[in-house]
Amino acid sequence: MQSERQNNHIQQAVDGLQQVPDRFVFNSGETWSGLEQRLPGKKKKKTWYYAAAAILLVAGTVYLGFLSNKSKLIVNGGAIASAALQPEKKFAKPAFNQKNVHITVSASSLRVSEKHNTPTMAVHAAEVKHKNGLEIVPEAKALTTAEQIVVTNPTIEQASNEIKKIIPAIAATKPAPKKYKVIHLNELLQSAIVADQQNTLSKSELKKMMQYQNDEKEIVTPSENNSKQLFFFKIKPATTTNTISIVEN
Amino acid sequence: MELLQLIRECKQQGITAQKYLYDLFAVQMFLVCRRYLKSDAEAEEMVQNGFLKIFKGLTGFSYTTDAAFVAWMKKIMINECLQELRKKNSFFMVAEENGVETISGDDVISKLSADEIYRLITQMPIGYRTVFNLYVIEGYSHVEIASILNISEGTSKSQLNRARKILQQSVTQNHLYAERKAK
Repeated sequence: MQSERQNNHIQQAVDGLQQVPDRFVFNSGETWSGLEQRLPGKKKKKTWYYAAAAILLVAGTVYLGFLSNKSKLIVNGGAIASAALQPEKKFAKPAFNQKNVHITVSASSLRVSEKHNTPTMAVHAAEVKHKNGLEIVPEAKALTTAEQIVVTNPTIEQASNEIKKIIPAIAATKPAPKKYKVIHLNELLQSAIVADQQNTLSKSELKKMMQYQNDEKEIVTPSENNSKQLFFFKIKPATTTNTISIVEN
Repeated sequence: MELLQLIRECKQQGITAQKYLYDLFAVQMFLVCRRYLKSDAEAEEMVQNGFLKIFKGLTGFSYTTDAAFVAWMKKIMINECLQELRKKNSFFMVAEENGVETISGDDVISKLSADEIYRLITQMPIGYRTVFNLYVIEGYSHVEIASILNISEGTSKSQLNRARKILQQSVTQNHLYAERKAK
């Protein structure tokens, strides 16, 4: 009887405790944080999301780097120049001033978009020069595509100036589409640099170089087309079948 | 919030409800575990394990009353503690087959406060303490204790007797000390 009373007293006393007695320490927050990590409802999705995002980012960067490498133009068999470096140099002065320089432009080095790859383009360029009394090689007249443009000019600088004067007049009278004025002149000036280097090369070396350029199947498109390729993941191969002629001095 | 509603939300693994339930009963469950184990850290670990089992086992639990739910939680905690003690071989039971339950004459314990009783229990050796806790506080019979601890019924009784003696001794010592201090 006494034992039962004793037991009841102890039981009630212990069960009635609502707080931790003085000498004991219970770190409730730490215990909960440990428990929270072990709960089954706690998922580790976020970690996977971050990992997937990082992988996608790296893959995207690599792909962009790959695309930008493709857009580089190989000039003169060795020196590499980016085609996108001078997108808006419309009527820049040529870098040389030599008389009777023959400029040969290979079509593979021309950055002609699909839109502009029409016969009127070459004819138009020829007409402009003819009006200003420039000497035009007959081969260039005969060409109706962007296969080859050969221009013989006694003073390129003079021609450039003449063109600068005429182009605004033409633009005023004839609302020419943008495709004529921007791309061709720019390319002509760029190719003039190539032609300048031709003087230092022999005929066989030039042939080899041109052959090398023709072998490259991929066409270098303008920067706006690069952006199209990026979004639609399409790379259009070169469809030009060009012939190259080298004119000696 | 009603306990029944809380249990329903915990069944749906709502983290807020789980935290709320934990906050409601964490101290109580810690006190249960600390009665069986040596240190606070061990007791905290058992609280963690016990609540984990509670949250997992809630799906199979059918609520009847609040008291039944608390008793269910306590049982889980006690089982966790006993399992831990078994792992560490903390039981050291002296086999006394012919142990007889003795009753102390003085009712000194009734004069003690809850905090003091709790502290005295935790000061006892593990073997005595376990039987004392199971018999006196949890209300198990000697037969049940014997099956739980895998000992004989006599051993359980003798362990309880020793536990009572130790408790009484410590109460008397504390009482005498307090009287001397008062003088």
